Amino acid sequence: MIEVENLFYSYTHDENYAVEGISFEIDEGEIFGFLGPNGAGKSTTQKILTGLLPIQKGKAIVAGEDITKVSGSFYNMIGVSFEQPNVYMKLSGYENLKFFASMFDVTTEDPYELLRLVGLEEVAHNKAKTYSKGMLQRLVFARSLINRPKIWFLDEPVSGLDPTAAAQIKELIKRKKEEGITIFLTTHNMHVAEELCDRVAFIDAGKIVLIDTPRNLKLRYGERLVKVEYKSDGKVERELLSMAKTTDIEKLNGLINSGKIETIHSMEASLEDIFIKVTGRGLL
Amino acid sequence: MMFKRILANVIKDIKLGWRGYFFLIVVGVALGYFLLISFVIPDEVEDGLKLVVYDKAEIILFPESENLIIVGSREDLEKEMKKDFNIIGVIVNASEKPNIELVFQGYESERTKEITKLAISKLFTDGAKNDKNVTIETLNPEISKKIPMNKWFLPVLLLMEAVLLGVVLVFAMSISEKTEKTQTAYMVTPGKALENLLGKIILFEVLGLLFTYILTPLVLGTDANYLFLTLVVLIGSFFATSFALIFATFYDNMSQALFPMMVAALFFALPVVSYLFPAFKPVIIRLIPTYPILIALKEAAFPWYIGSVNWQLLLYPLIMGALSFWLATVLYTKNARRG
Ligand SMILES: Nc1ncnc2c1ncn2[C@@H]1O[C@H](COP(=O)(O)OP(=O)(O)O)[C@@H](O)[C@H]1O
Ligand SMILES: [Mg+2]
Repeated sequence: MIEVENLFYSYTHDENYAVEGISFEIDEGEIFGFLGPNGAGKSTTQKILTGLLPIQKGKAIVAGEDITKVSGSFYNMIGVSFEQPNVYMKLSGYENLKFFASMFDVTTEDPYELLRLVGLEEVAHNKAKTYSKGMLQRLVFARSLINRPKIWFLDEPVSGLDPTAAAQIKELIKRKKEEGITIFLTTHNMHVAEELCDRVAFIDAGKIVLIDTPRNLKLRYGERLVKVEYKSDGKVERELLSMAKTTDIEKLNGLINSGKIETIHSMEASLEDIFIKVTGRGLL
Repeated sequence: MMFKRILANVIKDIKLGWRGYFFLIVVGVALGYFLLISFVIPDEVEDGLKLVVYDKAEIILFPESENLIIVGSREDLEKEMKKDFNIIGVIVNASEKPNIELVFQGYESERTKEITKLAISKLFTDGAKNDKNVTIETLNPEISKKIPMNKWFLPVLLLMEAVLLGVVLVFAMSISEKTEKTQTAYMVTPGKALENLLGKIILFEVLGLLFTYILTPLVLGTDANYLFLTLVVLIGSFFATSFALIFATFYDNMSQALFPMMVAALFFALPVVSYLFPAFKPVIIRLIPTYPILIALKEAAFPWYIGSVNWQLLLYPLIMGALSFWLATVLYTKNARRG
């Protein structure tokens, strides 16, 4: 559904790239995640793929159309959710959805139904400027579904939401995937990537470092860890030991034999641990 | 499909305009101006009698004073009259009996003229019975049919508010859209820049006509040529709003935009100077598209002394409006893509 080849983008039109030679493919019905810290180039990539930024170098084909040549009808097929709450603040949530629905040539969703799905039905007729940050984000999210898109672009769909709202949105994304739509999702949250995505691309400083399923990433790069708490000279010490390092294994054995261990947990590496291992930096 | 989108944009912009109190402002300003015209600006300027005298007969005995200027030629006399539009010209011709010519500006009422005539003939001749010797001439004959001073301002007010209103408010609207970044959201729909901008054009057409239809009947009753007036306001507002839309794309916040916005509004108001002082109309001013609009507004407001209206006046502003609108759509697309 999406093919990207050697894409570059520089806001300053020089060697200072926001996106630097990225390539990937997304299959129909797949949720593809872009995981990386702030400033990695996730939003820039999404803007190029939705035609909001021009292609400077490289190639991008979305739903069979070369993105440099798309016309108005292309936008009937895609849905785009933004990081910023770009809605008309003087219009109500309902009026915002109604207005954007009128822009499409295809059958659109009922604005009330969408507002209900994201938990905004009670404030449907309040002006958007009275909404909280999280409510605005949910409105932008709901708006991206108004034209029943085949390809859905989600820029940080749950960042800034409280856990209940985030769970609601994640459920909705899973349901849409079951309906067969293709989803491009950016996030700096490893849990979101792990829970939702079929495949994840690690992006750092404009470059894709690796692409794989969360499970494969863990098998390939994740080291199993053991967290132990033990008594030493009357104080409780905590330590994280890797099962991939012989020195750590010997240390664990020593602790077990000494009988000083108070608690012991085995831990799976998170996507963030792997991200740090591969890129040398964290996600925040 | 295109029509559906234009309609949705118009409804949205009218809602935004309503909630931004644009309609209230327009009605308030129109009523305010009506009060101003009715009770504050006088029907005529009565500022004592101020004379400029060209004395060919050399019989004047009075010295120059604040209210009396003596000049040596007819050209100088007209020059003085252009400097001060309250002044009345007097030419004393050399002949057996002094023969007096009065030169009026054209704004003066019949009463002023009569009083002047009487006073002058008393001064220079042996009495009112000789007033046959006084002839009257008017510098600006087109305004001599006594349009009262206060009504004379109506076309200016129509230009400033009905036509140029959009200039200020469209800045406010575009900047609020930029802050909200709604243009970006609009760009990922099949909606076109043209459809979006037409919403604003039509909102300001509606507001311009609202102002016109409130103030004009209050001031002129049924005397105006309302068909022509409607057309002039539509075209004038189309031009001014389109032009402002071009400018608005360059600014991201109100404090940045304030100064250029004022400059743009003042620039478009320049033809008012030529309107108030008809002798002053350099090419530069006549090239500003609001110049023919102001002339056309005058024709629409006072059809009874101009005779026929000149539809061709509207061609230039219409063409300039279409060009500006086209440029505004190009810039809109560019601008939204950048953000
Ligand atoms: N409009 C812009 N103008 C200039 N630089 C920008 C702009 N938007 C983003 N950038 C820069 O491009 C890089 C990538 O940004 P972005 O794609 O927004 O990252 P992410 O979405 O991963 O946080 C960052 O260094 C950011 O500062
Ligand atoms: Mg981002």
